[in-house]
Amino acid sequence: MTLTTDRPETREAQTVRKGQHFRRRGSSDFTRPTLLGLVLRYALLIAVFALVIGPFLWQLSTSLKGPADDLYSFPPNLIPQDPTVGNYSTVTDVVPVYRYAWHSLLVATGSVATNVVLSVLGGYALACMRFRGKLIALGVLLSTMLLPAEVTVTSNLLTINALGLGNTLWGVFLPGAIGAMNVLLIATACRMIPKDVLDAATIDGATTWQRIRHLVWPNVRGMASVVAIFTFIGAWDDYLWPLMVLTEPDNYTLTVGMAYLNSNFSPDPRLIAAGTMVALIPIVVVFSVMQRYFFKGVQEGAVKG
Amino acid sequence: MKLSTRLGKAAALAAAGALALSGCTGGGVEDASDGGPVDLTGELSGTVKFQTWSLKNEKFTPYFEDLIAAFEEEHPDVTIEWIDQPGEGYQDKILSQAGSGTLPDVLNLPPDIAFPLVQAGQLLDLAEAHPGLDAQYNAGAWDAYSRFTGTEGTYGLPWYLGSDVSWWDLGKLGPYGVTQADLPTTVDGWLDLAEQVAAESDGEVMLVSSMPTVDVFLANGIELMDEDGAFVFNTPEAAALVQSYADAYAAGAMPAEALTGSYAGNAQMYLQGQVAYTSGGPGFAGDLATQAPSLLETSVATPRAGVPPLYVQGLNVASTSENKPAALAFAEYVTNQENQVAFTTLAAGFAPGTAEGADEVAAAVAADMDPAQAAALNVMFDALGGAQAMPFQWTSAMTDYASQQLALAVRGDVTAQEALDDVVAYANENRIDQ
Amino acid sequence: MRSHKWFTPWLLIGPAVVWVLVFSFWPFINTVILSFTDARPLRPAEPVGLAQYERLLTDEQFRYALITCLVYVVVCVPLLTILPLLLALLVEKQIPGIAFFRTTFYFPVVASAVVVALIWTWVFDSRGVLNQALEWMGIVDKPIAFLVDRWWLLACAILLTVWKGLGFYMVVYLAALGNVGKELHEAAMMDGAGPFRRFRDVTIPAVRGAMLLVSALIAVSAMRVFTELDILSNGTGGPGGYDMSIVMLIRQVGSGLSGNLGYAAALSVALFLLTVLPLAAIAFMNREKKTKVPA
Repeated sequence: MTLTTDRPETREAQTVRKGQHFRRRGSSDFTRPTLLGLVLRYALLIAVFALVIGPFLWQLSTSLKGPADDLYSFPPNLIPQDPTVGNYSTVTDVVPVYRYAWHSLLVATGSVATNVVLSVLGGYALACMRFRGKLIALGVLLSTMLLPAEVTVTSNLLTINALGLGNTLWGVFLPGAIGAMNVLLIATACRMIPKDVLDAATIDGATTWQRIRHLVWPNVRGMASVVAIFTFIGAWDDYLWPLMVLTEPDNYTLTVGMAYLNSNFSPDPRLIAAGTMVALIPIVVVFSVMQRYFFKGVQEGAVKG
Repeated sequence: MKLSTRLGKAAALAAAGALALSGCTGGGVEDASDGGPVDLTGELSGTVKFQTWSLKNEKFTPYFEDLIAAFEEEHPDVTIEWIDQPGEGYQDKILSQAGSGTLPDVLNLPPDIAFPLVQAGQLLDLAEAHPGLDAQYNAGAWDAYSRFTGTEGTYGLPWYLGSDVSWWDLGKLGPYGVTQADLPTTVDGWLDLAEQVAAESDGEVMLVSSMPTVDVFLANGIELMDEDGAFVFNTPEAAALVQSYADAYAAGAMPAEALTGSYAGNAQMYLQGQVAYTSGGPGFAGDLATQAPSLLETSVATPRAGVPPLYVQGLNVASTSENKPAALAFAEYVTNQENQVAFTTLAAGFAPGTAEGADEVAAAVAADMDPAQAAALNVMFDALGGAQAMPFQWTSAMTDYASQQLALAVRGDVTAQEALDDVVAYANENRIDQ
Repeated sequence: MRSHKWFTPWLLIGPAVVWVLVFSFWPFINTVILSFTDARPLRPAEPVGLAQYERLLTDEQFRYALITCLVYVVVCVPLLTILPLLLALLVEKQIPGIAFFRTTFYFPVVASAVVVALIWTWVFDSRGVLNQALEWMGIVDKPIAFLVDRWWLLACAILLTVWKGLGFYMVVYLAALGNVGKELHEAAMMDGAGPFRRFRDVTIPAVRGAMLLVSALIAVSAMRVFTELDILSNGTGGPGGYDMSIVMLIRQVGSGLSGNLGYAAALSVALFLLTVLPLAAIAFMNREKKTKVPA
């Protein structure tokens, strides 16, 4: 159903043109909410917002606290008495934050690229093609999702070392290059594509590649952005695996590098909080950019030509 | 020693088990039998990999760089490669290094982490490699590296030592007539005071924030193991001790959350101002200064009740090292008295692992140290002679199990004796030295 | 209709399957082998047959862990299947500032465990925010020690799981909702369908696939719950260890340089088998209704 829709008006277009976000009584446009509905909606949004923002407020406030502030007073004190931004510059002095962030970025971006491409290919095959051994492939993917991740670390370390990739960013990247869950996520999205559309394309002589490029991709782009976000954050936040693979501090990723802040001798939580806030920025950026794509697939009216 | 360790531990230890999978399990080392004295007389040369644990930071990096430069100047043909591992995930890292035969030549391992490596023949017997070293080091710490079951020899050079003192918040205790002079000196005295203050303050001021642990039994002179290494601490004395904790809990002298408190949880509660007593190293004054400056002014340190604990860090030499002479020479150099004094002067709150030198450290740091911390340091240095390390046979799994069962007893769900019997049975079923 | 060469699907799915075989399946085989030995780190392992599994059957700690996990699955699956969908519907509309809300709603997923621990402890502590509120409202006269009671602790952990999971699964639903045709909603509205009926008759069928996937993911992760219980119980699993999950138990027995790897491996295998159960149940429910779903 999504494919056959080629609506002249998108939701965004409407909002921009009329500059009014709610529906007047008697208006014929049912897609826009009533004023009351809109107020209710914002009230709910703000309520959920209040629930989720706590830890970050606290972290932000800790990172701005000066040496004279008590950190763990009970109940917590959110407004710093002795505010400073010095923690942010100190943290970059203690660990080479930018170099480590660059390493993390390389690994995370690489993982996003391979995960998106390979899971679209695999997901399409799994959802829309019939072939011998499909059940086996599905079984392998499903079963490994159930394995406790902890059991894989050593074996993978041996594999990576055997490949000669110990202490390299390639070694960090490789095991996460494709995740079973991502394939299944994309397969779910692929099942939403009506069979007759794909068949029609086949009759028109489209090759498998053309079908993926022009038919499947536009329809699974929303889910692909989910895969991208999950992968990026997973790679960015991973600690144990890069710690195992990397032996030289020069090659560390951000999470491993940040662990240096946590020295054995009286760690300063203000610095850690500042470092964590810095590490959070790329995640927020990636997420804000990506979330817009959730809706693109529909609005563009997927089938072109 | 550090508050975040336990939280991080959860994540980091995850893979430790997995690390021994497949190839690692059979981790025999071919040239492990290559013991005997190491010839230190010749000209030293080659590369030595030196691994520290969470010491590369603005505070310690200059010290190590100078130290290495000085050694390399003395021995021009030797190159020291210094690597440092982050605080979290250290056991995993060691395990993967040992499993793949890539242990650094010289590395920092506390006795309990060293034990499995000793069993696997991966560490060099230093007493044999260089006889006569023992006189230079702190006797208790030297012992901690010499008493591994099933093997003779000494497998580490004591490097820096820690212990705990008692911290009291007189700001909270003062209103109830408690002064520094009449602070209790025994565990029973402390628990009695806790009940009394809790009653007088209507539960506002609490003094107990930790569970009875094996350390407490050790501190009270309760025998942990018999000669065969079997655990035997389910005695009536231990049960009575646990029961006093239960009484204190029932009297409201302990926050409920202490039942699930971790090793550093009591210090955390003290920093939050929830309790007026905790145990902690002299370095805890530093935590107070950075994290709760207003508490530092009213805090005083006294010696721990009973036998104080001893935390040992040391340097070890890998038996797989291809450059044992230089590695051993460097390990001795780092742990000699002069360098240890310099190091522990910097690492405020710790004592050198050498036989002498603690006085020098105390004198050196007293000038530019917070008075509370200097006082605590003196208390600890005085107590260090009689301090006792936890037996290496006591594993983290046993610690976890013990805290779970004893929490039930403190809560009053089971009797102290039942809980102790369970813990001892569990520990004996899971002994690692057999 | 067959429109491709026989090997094309394998070219497409091949990389994923190979990767999973090398980096997940092979380690698992190792674990299975290990579970029949008495392995400890850095020691040669001796085969011990089924001894580790026999221990499992009589282990009281395992029994508690199993109950904890099953309760977790039963409570979390319905909660986290429905609530994130409602949240996704809430943020789906393109109204001013919505991008900001969407982004912040995802924050709990990326929050650092240490900070989350501190915040939630402040909420649930016996002198914490929640107890103060309850006392102020006169509901209780003595604070409830939420974090040291077996069932309260479990309830708090579930609350934390829901809090952390809302944003994660909301994202999956957002992507799926992108596929719901607006004209269907409009048609339903023309027919006089209220919001509830539209939710039931239009939204739910359209995101059915996503709901099944989400509930499967939740079932798997609830069976493997670790962080929340670990954080709230300070790593101890509560008094008596009653609130340990299976993964916590695996870590307790298998961690460190002197861990009991053989028993930890047996626990891992048991966990794997136990995870298959809820999944099979979900797959079965899916099969039954498949004919009704056009997609």
